[in-house]
Amino acid sequence: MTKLSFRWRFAIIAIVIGVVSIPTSIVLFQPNLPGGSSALAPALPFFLGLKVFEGLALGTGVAFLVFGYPLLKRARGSSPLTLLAYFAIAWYLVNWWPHDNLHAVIGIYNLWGVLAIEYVFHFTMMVAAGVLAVFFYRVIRQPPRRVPGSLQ
Amino acid sequence: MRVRHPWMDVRVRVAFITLVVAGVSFPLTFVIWPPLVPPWAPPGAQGLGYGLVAVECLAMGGGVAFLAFGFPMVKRLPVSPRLAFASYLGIGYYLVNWWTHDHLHAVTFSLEPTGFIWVTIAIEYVFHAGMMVFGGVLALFFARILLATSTRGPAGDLAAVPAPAAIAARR
Repeated sequence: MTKLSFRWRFAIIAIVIGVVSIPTSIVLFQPNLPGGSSALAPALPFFLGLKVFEGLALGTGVAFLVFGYPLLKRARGSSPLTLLAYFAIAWYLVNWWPHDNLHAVIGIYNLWGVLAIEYVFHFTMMVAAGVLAVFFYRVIRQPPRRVPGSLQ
Repeated sequence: MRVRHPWMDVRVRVAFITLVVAGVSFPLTFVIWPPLVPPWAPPGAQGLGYGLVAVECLAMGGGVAFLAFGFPMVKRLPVSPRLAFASYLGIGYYLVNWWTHDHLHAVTFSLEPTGFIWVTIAIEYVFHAGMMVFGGVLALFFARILLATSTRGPAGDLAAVPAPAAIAARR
């Protein structure tokens, strides 16, 4: 039996988690819409599309955490900043599933709930974006040394 | 004639732009947008709301500085130009979007249910789905950067030896 390529394994993990997470989110998180209204029928495909995005982002984030760590360990000169950048990217992928669903459950009238989401998700994503900007700058400042005549 | 200030290294210039943009956007927030935390809320919640606005403004300032100073350097990245540019845009978007994004959410709070649903959907697709797509781009960017700096494994080993020996090793 031939071994599956890295891309296939990555895609399988991302898609399986994505597919499982969509019905799970519909069962676990009941939206709390303003005024007790229900979602409009024409809007439902758009909400479903968002669920697909969230599920695939979650799956990609998990696959990134699983397959990215060995790469991180074997990278030359891996620093705490690289580790932080790895977690920041993973956070930008996995957070949307709990984040958007908690927004839907908590609704807009629960002030402390909304503030908790703002600080747990939005604030941490702003910090993560700062980490990624610094990482990007460091990569530019210190390009990898390449051996002349080597295969790239 | 252009005057150069050698003492103003990139960190000072980034901090300067960040603070200027944040300093302008912070008071502007209360003119343009509805409050994130309603006026009847307790002082603790008000404080948290102001803290969040401050962080959003700083993130926007950092994003403007990143977009301004990062662009000339994008070509130096050891990945394809398209991936480098997409990653640069992604990080810039991650920083600048929050000020508009969070306050647009606050605008929806005052809409009637149908308007709330459609505007929320638009925000979700433009901001949330946009950030998810950039998350995938940045994951690829990160993996390519790590592969370019990796010392062990197939790619790293081949990169570390002269070309003829590497070709022979591959065969």
